[in-house]
Amino acid sequence: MLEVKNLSKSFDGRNIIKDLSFSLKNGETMTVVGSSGVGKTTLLRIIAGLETADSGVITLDGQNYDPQATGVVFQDFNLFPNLTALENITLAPKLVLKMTAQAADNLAQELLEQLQMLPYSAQYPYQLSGGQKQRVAIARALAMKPRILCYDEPTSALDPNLRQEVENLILNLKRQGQTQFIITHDLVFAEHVADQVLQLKPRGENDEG
Amino acid sequence: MDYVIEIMPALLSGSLMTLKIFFWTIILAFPLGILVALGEMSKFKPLRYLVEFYVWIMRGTPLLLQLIFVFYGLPLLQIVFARYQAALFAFVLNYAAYFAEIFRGGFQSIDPGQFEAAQVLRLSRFQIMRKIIIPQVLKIVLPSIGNEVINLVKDSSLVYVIGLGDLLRAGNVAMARDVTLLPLVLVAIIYLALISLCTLMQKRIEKHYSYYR
Repeated sequence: MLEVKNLSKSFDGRNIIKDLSFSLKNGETMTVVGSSGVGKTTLLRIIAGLETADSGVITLDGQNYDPQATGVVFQDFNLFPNLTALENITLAPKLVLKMTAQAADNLAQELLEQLQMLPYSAQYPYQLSGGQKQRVAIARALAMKPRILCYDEPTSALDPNLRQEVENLILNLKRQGQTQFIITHDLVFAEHVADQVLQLKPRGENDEG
Repeated sequence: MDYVIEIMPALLSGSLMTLKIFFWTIILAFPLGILVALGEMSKFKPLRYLVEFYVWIMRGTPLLLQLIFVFYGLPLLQIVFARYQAALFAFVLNYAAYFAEIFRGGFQSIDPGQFEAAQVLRLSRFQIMRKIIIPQVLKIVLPSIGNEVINLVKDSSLVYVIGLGDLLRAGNVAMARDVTLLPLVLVAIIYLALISLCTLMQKRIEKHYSYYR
């Protein structure tokens, strides 16, 4: 279980997140909603280790939380344009987990297959559509076996008719037991995929809903 | 024609000096330029100021002055370089500064999201640089680097001032001795050939990097 207690973060004296507490059970999916500027993305960046909180405690299964346990699917996907879809996925397993090229390739192909992206494994990101890029980004994150998979606005960079597909993808991963943490401004989508919706409100009046 | 054959050995040996300066400057100034660019972006302020000062001096004074300073000026401070080493020293330091500015622009044009994506995948800073950032920077800076490389071929003629026998000097000597324009025409043709070769190489390399956008 991921537990966040009394998390606060301010930029230039302005409170973005104040005294935020919530918990996310293993295998569950939490969506974080709220109007823009309430700190949704900041919260994700803190959990991903891209920002540090000013105060507060985060634990994972009672242990001190290490952001390395987390994978991120960025809003613009941030795929590496100089690498193919497959290479985007195998890069970190090879360099960080020290997997052999063969094992990393197998893992990547499995993930691409599962996301119906196998035919695109040799394509470069510029050759892929938004939805396809997102799947590669998801596969890239999953290849590192993250305890928690975070998404920043997974529906916003896509055509509206792809929303249903993203929903299915996320529900599928939930069925496989993947813990997911999703920032979104899309309330209907948030309700559909979540076990728990966290509503962020301006000026620190946060509560769980 | 006989005359051309007669002066060719001198011109070719001059070309060799030109090429030697050219190659060593590229090989040394290129990586040094990357390091200087990283220094310019360093969060450690003393390093950044030092590197910015160096780039300021190198870009703010003529290369000719720098050559004269290294070969004729530094010996007054008991620092003595041989002619060729002096030329290389000045060229490498000068070109590294220009390359650094080009690389800095290249680094800064990379989306910070690329660093962040690599960071959450737990790549080390070195791995991020080597596998993600530098390949993308190289693609971006190629046209500007090509420009500098062409300049370098021509700038190498400045070494005449410290008495090195390069291509231009060889042509100049032959012209003064034989009172004919032909050597200078030949020198121009050789420069054109060298630069055409550089342009061709540049196109090849750009094509090699065109596999992605």
